[in-house]
Amino acid sequence: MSAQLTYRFRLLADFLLNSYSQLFFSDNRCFAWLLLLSSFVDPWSGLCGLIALLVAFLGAWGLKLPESPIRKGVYGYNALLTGLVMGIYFENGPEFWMMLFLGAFFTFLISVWLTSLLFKANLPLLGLPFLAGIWTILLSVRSFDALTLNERGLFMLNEVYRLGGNNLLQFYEFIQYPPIPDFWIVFLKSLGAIFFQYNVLSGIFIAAGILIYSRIAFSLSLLGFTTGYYFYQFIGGGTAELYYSFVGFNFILASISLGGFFVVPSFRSYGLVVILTPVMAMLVSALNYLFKDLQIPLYSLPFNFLILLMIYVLRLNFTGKGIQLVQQQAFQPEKNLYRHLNEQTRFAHHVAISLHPPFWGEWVVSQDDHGKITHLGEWRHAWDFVVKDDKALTYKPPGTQLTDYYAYNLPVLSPAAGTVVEIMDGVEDNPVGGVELQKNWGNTVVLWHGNLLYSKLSHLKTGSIPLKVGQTVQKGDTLGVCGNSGRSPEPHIHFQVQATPYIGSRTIQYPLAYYLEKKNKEWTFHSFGYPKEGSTIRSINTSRLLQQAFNWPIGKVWLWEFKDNKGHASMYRWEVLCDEWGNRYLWCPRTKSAAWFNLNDSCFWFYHFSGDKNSLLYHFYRATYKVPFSVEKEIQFVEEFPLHLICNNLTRYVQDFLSPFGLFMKADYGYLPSKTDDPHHPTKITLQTQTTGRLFNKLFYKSNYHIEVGTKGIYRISISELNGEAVCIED
Amino acid sequence: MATQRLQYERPLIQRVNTGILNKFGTRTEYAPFTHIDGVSVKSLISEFGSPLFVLSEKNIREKYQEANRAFKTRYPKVQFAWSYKTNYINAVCNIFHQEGSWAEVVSGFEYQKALKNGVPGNKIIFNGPDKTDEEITLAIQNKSPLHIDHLDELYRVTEIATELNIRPEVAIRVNMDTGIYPMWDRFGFNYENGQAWDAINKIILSDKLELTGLHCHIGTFMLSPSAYAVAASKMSDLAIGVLQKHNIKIKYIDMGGGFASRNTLKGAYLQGVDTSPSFDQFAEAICTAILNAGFHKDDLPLLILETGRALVDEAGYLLGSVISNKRLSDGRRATIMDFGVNVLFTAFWYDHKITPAQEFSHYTEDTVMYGPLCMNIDVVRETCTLPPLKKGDHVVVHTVGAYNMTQWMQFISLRPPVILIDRNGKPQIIRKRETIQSIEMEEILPAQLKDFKL
Repeated sequence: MSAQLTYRFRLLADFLLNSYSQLFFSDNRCFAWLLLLSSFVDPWSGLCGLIALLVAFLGAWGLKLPESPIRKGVYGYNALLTGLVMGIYFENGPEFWMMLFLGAFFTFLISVWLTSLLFKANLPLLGLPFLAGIWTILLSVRSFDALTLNERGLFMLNEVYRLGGNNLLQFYEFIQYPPIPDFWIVFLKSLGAIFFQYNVLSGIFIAAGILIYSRIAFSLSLLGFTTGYYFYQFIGGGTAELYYSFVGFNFILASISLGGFFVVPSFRSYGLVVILTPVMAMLVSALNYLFKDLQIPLYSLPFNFLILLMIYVLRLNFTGKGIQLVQQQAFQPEKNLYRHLNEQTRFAHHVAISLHPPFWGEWVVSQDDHGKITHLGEWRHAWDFVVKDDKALTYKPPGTQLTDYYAYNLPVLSPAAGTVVEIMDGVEDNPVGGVELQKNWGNTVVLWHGNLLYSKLSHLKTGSIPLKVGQTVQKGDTLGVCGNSGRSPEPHIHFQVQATPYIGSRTIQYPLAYYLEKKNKEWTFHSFGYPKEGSTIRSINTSRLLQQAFNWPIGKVWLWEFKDNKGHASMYRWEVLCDEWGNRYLWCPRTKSAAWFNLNDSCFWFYHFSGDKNSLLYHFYRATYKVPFSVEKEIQFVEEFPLHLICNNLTRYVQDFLSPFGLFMKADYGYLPSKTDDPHHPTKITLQTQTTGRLFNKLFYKSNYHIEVGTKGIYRISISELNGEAVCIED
Repeated sequence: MATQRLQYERPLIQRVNTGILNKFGTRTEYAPFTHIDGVSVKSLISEFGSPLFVLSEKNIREKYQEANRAFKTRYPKVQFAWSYKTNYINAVCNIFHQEGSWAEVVSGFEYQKALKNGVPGNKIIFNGPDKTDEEITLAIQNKSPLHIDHLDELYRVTEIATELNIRPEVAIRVNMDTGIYPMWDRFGFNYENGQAWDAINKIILSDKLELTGLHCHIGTFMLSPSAYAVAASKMSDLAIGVLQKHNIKIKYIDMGGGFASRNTLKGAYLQGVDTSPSFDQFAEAICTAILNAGFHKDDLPLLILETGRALVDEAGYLLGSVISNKRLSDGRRATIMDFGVNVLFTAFWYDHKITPAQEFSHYTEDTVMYGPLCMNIDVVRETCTLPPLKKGDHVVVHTVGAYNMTQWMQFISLRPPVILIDRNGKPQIIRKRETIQSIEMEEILPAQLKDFKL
């Protein structure tokens, strides 16, 4: 029973605090407390906001709504706003309590409805329910006489004098009009206005909160406000409007949300803010005229409208270039940016179905994507492969017979598991130099790999295809042998990917998976990529030992003991869990940390971490950020970490300010050649990885990891940073 | 351009005939061979003396890469092991190790050599019928793959493993009928009569040894790839049988060596250059047989190859000089060289290609080529068509890289130095000319025999 009570209390606490931070698109607890505090600068209004939140919570809980949006505060923050405003407007009394309850509940209902309505259009909720709620109340109370307007603000000076005499009055004056330039006073008051606290003190609280929450948001709020302020001066609108109405915060909210929250922060998004702020000013002025007659304030209507408009427009950019919307909200502009940059470098070419090189051994790309000879027009995405010797010849001299060619008769393999959907066989192999332009693809196999993914392998030797249409093949199964049929003057493999199952279909761009590429005698490892003409490539040989060591069944429980060199020991218990979307993660209940991972036949990788950065799980995330399942010594690579997950110091905060324009700090994962007892049949593998931090390309931080893998899986991790090692005691 | 003086050639009177009966007419081996990897034969002899073995590092690496490519483009798991007995000069071994080869040894001496070269124990394959207790113990402790040749060895290995309380990884050598003659059945256990299965069962049931591989070596200088196809399918059959019967996955199949080089065997009708199969042909036969044998795709055994001769033979040259010419009693011309069968041991079974190392006219004559030994057996070529050579002229013997530098004899004279021309065309001594000290170093003269008066 008490457990259930604790659970409900936790849910309520999460709901309350998240509702405050949601106002600024954040999930930062510290920020939430600051906002809560600043709302109580006017205690009466703050209290009303809190009560409105309770109403919304009871409503959501009583109506048995889904728990996740409740916890995140999605249903709460609009009610909070309604409460805050009502507290400012109306005098205390039973009628007021009645109206507060009704207003909060109505706002909450609208929130629920609009959340799911807008979710379908892939648009955010913003403050629309608040507008609906507060306008309804303001319009309705005109016929409810019992409710009286609050008069506190009108006779503020009198009240202050009555309470504390001249001293307090002077202090109040100082707070309201501190000896700082007008610009800052207006800026801080506009910040306070977000909470309908039109004073400098609240503004300072909120400014501090924003700074702690996000350096990008802070710089954006200044940028948006400055642009608006000077636009008014330029256009001759006078800044009075900014002084005496709540419109200033529209600029601030719009710039934060468009500059860094819904849009990935960049110099482009900052430019967007500069362009859109005058549009906003225009909108504010225009709407003001319309709303004057209704006698209700605009509040955040311009902001809401403009954001929804821009998001709608930006959604139609499918190129992945230019101004980018945030795909998965991290609730902080910095995180959005670092994650975006990280995903761009790490997963730009990532695909769910891996197509491996369709051969054994080392082959050379003789014609690549957009090749000049035949990879033209609709068939531009393809690769031709030949075998070359160290003199770069494709044949043993004299090269007049097909059998002189190294590629001739070599097995051609299935690039992935699939089904045979079309076969062409019986096209005679051309003599060297000859081409067949009628049946130009020659002997061909088309495979279907699921979804709209087909691969086609052409120019096989006549009569060499051991398959039937409809047959399934596994990755690496032989599809035939390399021949010289079709438009092929010398034996080679033509490999292309297409979205339709026909021989002759147009090609699509699709990367090759998990291969080593040799250029200037140096091998480089590629997870997904597009090998260029002239480069030598080969598949990686996967090791079953590694595949097994990183294949964790859901529900697996791991017990680790960490010991440092001073003998301090601590125990950690990890579980492998899977959420409702099928995302797998390692969960450490003790440190409340989660490390999200994924894997396929060839590779394991972590793609996110959240939680305690002193936990063992955090170091495990860093140690095995990406592990290809191969022990080949040629495999070594560097991959970036999201900066915010590795560096957390003052320099990082300076970087945060500049991050939309460029990074001078970098955090990298280095995968060094692994060591093994036997390259062909390993029973013990030691992976060596490192985390490095660079400042202006100079190394300022490095820590090494050794991960030992045996027949029973990963059993030891040594961590240089902690001067200790973790041993798996049970799994 | 200065005009070059014509070389003096002694006059010769020749009966007009149609030559040896051959559809290609008389063999013409008289294109002068003056440079090896850009280094002139003349300068090599003047610097290092005559006779002289010369090896080309470039050629060794090219051959290795050719073989490697032929197999690795046809099969996913391939490992070469350098056959030490073919040429165990350390420099040669280390070229192969640099290229990625393991070591394959057939004696304790070779095993020590591989260890000294720095090959990890588990990458030294220990073959051969004669392994002493000490050698077996060392191999087990070093985790070297032990290839068992006969039952007595199997029992001894089992006993030693029990004493050491180690479960070593072993393989058995299998011999079989692959359709060629002679059948090599003196090494290993026979496939057809069930000896191989007997040995396999003994190993598995004793549970003291871990059967990880199967090894065969079907012959030497094999000119028929199809024999390897037969061998590979019989080996695969055994491996699959072991999986089905004992649920043990054989980790590797070692197909041994025996690939022919481009030498010409004595009595061969055609030249080796034209008849020897390429690596691609051997690879095609072996890989296709294993791939079609029925292994699960993810459980294909590692394919180990112990090719020696075909990888190194062509990289080797023997440079020599003419000591004298003479006319034999039957009128045949004879040329006496400064190298003989003591140095060129393979002259016993090959008709080595021999070319002069300087310019000459187009007149040729059949010649018997003798070595310098004062022994009747010392015949390098029984007949050979060469231009008239005079004392001091140089010749180049081709394709001598395999077995000569291991089977040569210190007999009557001392063994010549071996030079390696590196990839930059720089000659380096990799084995010095023997001296009287190198031979007498191991001799012990009893005190009573130290003095004598004549």
